Amino acid sequence: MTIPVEQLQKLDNITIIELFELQLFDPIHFATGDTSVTTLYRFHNGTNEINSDIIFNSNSYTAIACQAEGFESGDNTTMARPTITFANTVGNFSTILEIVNAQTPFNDLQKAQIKRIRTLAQFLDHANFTGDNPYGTPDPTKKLSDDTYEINKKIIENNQVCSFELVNTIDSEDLTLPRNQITKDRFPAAGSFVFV
Amino acid sequence: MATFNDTTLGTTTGATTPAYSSVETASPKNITVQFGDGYKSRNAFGLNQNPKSYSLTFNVSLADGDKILDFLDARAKDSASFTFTPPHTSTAKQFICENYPRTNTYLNRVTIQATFEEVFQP
Repeated sequence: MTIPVEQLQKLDNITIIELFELQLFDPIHFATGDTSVTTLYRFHNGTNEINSDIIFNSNSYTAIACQAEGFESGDNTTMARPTITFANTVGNFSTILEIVNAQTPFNDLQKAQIKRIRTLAQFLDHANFTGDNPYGTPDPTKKLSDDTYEINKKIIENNQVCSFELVNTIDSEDLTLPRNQITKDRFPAAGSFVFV
Repeated sequence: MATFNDTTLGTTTGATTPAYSSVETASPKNITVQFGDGYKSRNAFGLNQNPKSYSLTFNVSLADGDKILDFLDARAKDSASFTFTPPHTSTAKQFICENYPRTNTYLNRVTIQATFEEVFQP
């Protein structure tokens, strides 16, 4: 369910909360059946009002300095390729990349899924505040439409930041048509058409 | 998490109370859009967008000044935040201090001008 329009059109008292989820897939990023690795990372650029990780829909979103930019919506001729940047000062993202590259060399989290969730402060869980949520009633279904993107490539990895380029899930580079080659044993007329 | 007060630092009573004329600065981060007349749309982006900053002056003896500097040096070393109750408030908040020049004003007297910036972290 989306956020009612009148809540978004108010002049004040709107606080947009941006949450990120990083989903890894087997067998690219971890061995199939390996339950010891984390397969879903949750991030938010900040903490809640009691100085702990923000909680939405009973899920805890780890506080890490991160920034995503370049999300576009609308009728552009080119598809948006947003960039997401995480702080890497203690090597936290290098560690994730190291684990992934041990499974698939040179993978660098390619094909992993980044989901951006946006909601308002009044729909956050009560656990984020001293007492109940002072802005409104918690409701995990009230959010703007999720943006789901795939990681296309790693742009920067140094001792300060780790940055990735994201692509639309239908904007895959290595996908070719036809996906199957049709030969005469599957379709007898193949190769006999003559176009004039 | 360490607390910036007389008990933790071991200073004489009142040494960690800043002198008068301390400055409290607030600069809330809001996204503001205004076209034309008085209609202005203001939104915040995320919680905790109003970190306070305090410019504090401590006029203390040399021994107390050393203890204050030792405390701030230790925080610079472990890059941890500390709790401090700002002047004329009752609730303690979390701060970091990245700038604390010391001036030798007189025999056995020093002045420390520290800038405490509020942080929101576990």
